[in-house]
Amino acid sequence: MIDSLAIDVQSLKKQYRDGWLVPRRFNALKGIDLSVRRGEVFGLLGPNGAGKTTLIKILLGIVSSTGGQAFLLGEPAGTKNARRRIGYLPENLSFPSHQNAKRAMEFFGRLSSVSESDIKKKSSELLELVGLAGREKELVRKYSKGMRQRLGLAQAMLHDPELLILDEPTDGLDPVGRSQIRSLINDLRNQGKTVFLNSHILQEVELVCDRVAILAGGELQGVGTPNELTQQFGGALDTKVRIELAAAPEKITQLQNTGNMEILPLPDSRWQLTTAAQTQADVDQLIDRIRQLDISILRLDRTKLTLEEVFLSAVQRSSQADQANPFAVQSEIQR
Amino acid sequence: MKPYLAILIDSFWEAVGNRVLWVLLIGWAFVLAGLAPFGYVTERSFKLVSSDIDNLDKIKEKLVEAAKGQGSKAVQAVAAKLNPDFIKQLEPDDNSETQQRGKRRIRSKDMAQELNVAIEAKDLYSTDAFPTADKRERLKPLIEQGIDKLGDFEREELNRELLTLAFPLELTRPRSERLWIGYAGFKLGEPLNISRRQIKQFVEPLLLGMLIKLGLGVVAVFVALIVTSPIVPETFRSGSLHLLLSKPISRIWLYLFKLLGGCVFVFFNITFVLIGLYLIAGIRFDIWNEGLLYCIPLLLFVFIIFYSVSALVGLIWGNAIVCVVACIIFWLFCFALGAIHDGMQQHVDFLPQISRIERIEDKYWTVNQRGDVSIWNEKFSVWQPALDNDAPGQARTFGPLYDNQRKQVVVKSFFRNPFGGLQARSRKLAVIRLDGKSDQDDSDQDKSDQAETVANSEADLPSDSDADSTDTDGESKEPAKESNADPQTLSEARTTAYWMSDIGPELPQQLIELTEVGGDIVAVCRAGIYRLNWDKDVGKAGNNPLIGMLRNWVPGTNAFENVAPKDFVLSDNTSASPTADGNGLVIYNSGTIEVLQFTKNRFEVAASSKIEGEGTEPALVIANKDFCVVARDSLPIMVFDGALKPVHPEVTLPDSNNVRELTWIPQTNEAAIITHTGNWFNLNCESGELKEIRSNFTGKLTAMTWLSPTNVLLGVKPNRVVEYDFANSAITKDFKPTMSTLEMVYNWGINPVYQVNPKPSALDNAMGYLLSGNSTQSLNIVTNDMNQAQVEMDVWRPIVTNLAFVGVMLLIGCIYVARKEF
Repeated sequence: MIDSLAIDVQSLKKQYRDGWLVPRRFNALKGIDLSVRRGEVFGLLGPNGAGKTTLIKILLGIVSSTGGQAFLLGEPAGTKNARRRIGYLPENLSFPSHQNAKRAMEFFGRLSSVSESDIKKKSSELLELVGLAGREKELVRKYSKGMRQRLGLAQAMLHDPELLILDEPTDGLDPVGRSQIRSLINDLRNQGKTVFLNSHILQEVELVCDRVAILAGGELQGVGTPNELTQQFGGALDTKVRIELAAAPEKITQLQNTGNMEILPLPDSRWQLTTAAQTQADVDQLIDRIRQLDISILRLDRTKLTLEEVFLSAVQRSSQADQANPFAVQSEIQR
Repeated sequence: MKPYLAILIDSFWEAVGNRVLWVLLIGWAFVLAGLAPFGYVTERSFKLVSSDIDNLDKIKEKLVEAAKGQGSKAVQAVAAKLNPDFIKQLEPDDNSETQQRGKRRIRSKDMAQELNVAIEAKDLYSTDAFPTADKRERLKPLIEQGIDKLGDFEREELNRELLTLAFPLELTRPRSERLWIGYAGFKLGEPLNISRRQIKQFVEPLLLGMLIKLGLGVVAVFVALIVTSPIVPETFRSGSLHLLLSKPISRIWLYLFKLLGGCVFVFFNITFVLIGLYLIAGIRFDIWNEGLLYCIPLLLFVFIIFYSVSALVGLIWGNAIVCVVACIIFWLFCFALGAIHDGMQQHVDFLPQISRIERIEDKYWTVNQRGDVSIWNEKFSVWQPALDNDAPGQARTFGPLYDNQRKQVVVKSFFRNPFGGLQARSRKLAVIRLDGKSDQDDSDQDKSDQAETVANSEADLPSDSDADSTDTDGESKEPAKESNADPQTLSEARTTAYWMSDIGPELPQQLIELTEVGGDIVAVCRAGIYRLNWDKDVGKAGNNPLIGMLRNWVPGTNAFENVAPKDFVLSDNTSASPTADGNGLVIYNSGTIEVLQFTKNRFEVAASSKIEGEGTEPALVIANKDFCVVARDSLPIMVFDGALKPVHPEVTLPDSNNVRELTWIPQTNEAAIITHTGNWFNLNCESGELKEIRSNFTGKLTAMTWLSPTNVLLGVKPNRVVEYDFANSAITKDFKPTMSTLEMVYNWGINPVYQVNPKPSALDNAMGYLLSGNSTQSLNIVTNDMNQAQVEMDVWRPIVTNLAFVGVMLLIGCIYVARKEF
């Protein structure tokens, strides 16, 4: 456990059992290690069933781990002291139907042991910040999903937590609302708060997160900044080069015979060549060959890996690994 | 604690925001507004109303006789004040057609109005017509004051008392205040014939109890259960739960406070209604009963019992409908078990309770709450019936009294009606002959003929047709099945009456006590005190000219001679017992204690004293030559000396215990007391010291008969008798009957299951205790008999078992919440 870490997860495992008589078991987390530094915005990515929610539940103490350790702000995860210092916005948030925004803020403020005067003062500020000013006396059951998300975010910030765990914070929000949330997260980062973000919207994660972790199949597939992840996954993937050419068909045929490439015809005696070029030397060699055949190069593009491609690649890798070792779960259990 | 208070505060707002709550509160407001105008309407008056006429026909008869110059001078004086035409209308007319055309039917109301003329008369009193009036406690000061100087109200009082002297059995006792139930100031019906104390006794545990049990215990609790059933399932739904669990609170406390928060809804309802009822009962009926307010937490507890089930089911299944269904199933189970238990308890535990034990010629006799007179059958170890008893339910049996000279036992059983009165088919005593001979043997009467005669006589007894008193009326009691053969089987011993019995002389009307004074059987009745003279028993074959088949048709009232002091009239709430020396009687009558000594073939008042208080409460009274002890219902015990002067401060029994039996320990000045809770106390009349006698039977005692200063027969619940050596605290004989199948099923099956099972409905006992302040309760609406067994309310056991049940439910819920991975 390192004090400078907001979240410190070491070899964390979680195995669920389902059924009474003959319980079926599956591993939701297969021993993950994860560190989130204080003051950073950290994104957690993963497909459905990857173990993201389980990880958050363990961090909040809602479920217990079956192995490993987890610490929040230096405190064992799930303890009251740890929970006192975090703010949480759950996915599919629902409020009691009799509450209005003001009463909900009072209720959750009191649950977090915030003083009455602070509740009064901060509620108005936060409701204004999330765009609910003037509507605080309306019953929450009449709110749209986006409004409930905003209220959820406001209550998560009410007790001024050091760490915010936001599960799909922009879910149900319009583009303007998403932008506002992104701006709010940036403000929180500037205030030195740690934000642990779980989102399906990869572009959003890419835009606001300092670092990202990809979780798939209960295992951590990668952790780092978006660039680091691209490079990390780029090394494993083919780097593609796309070149627009102008030449006679026979010259194109000659070029095609020199290596593994795909050439598609375009109008006006133009051609599009696509091939893998893992290094700069591969690209230089290809251009030399084209020029030796006196083929004109009209345009050259080198495609860059997006976070989405990295994510999909990681997920694919994880599923391939699972298929390759169908007894992994069983052996895990036996151990 | 603050986070958890937030849950309660939130529950408060949740309840306030619930429309069902407001609908219910408005509904309750209407109910309370409907009840609020009820109240007493009082009027200071001695005038008669129709309910004061106890025996209209007899009054008519007496007035007609008086108009002819016959009958008592008192009645003649009254008749002289009435309209002669009215009296003419009272005369019986043979011509029924004329009667129909020319005479209107005189009803009680008409009679009361006409007698009120006499009450208003200025000169009703004369020493000639009412020679003993100036010696009577109530009349003496009025007469001494001077008739002419009396105000209207005082004169009414005097005249009303004089009317009572003229018609002692035909009119009720005078009351200075008339009491009606009114609505918005209007009188509803006739004035009430019961006192405020009796109304309180009726209203508190019964009327209010019923309203609370049905209105709140059923309606409010079940509506609240339906309304609050979604609270726990919704709270523990993932969307809201994960947010709650992320807060620095304990999930167990979250569950418990959510459950507590669910009570806010029902708390509003209960508090609103009970405070309303408290104010209405207090302002309108002057019944300021804090017990109503204590019912608030009790009813909340009832709700919590059901809600703990609902919450647990909601926690596990997460469905509000399943919660309600589970609650209904749970309620049905508890109700069914409670009903079976209570029904069996009545027959196994309550009615067999022994109320009187006698040792007659080395045989042990008992009387139980069913009125059964039994003797101990050593061979089969059972109480074997001495008489057939065809009276179902509660009955009161006077006796058994043993006539040593004639070797016979005298008993008389009456049914108890719900209002405390006694009823029987006839007023004839049952006589059990211990010599094995019956009158039937003497008269050579064929037994089958006799049985037929009895059957016929039951249908239409002329002697009873005019027995219209509220106490003893009806037709003849069937004589016991005659068999003096020993029973051959256990079931025969349990059911077959062993002793031969005859129909004895007929008792006077309105029997209060049947006892033995100086070797004579004495009947204390409202009209006086009667000594049984067997020689005048015209029903007896030897003396009766109408022998044979008609013998049972002949009234035998002549056998009882009135030996009361002159103009001696008793009220309904009279208690009497023989003095310890056996030659006198001590009587508690409408708040007055009178010690009577039997001299010159008549009782004379030896001492008299008035006790402060309403005087309508039932009491037990005993006296010896030095002391007199009076135990009034729900009041402290009083000790008087021989001159009936109080000698000690009043003695209060611990824990609101009420006296069930009061007897002298022979040759001592100590009174032994058995309470309705089955405890035994000895009261030393010399020192005023009260000492509890602890034994193995503490809490189970029902009756006590002292054989000597150290030897006592104790009745132990339900139907066991032990002969107890008081000096050595040892049992010398034990009469413990063999259990019947029903008793075995109850004792080893139903009762143990019931005891450990939650019993929300048994909290009615605690409610009754809070409302009445008594830990025991009579099954009758009004009771005038302190010796009648009362049901122990069993206040604490249901609370403990229900608490344990709620505890288990909450524990399971807490373990589930703590371990569940939501």
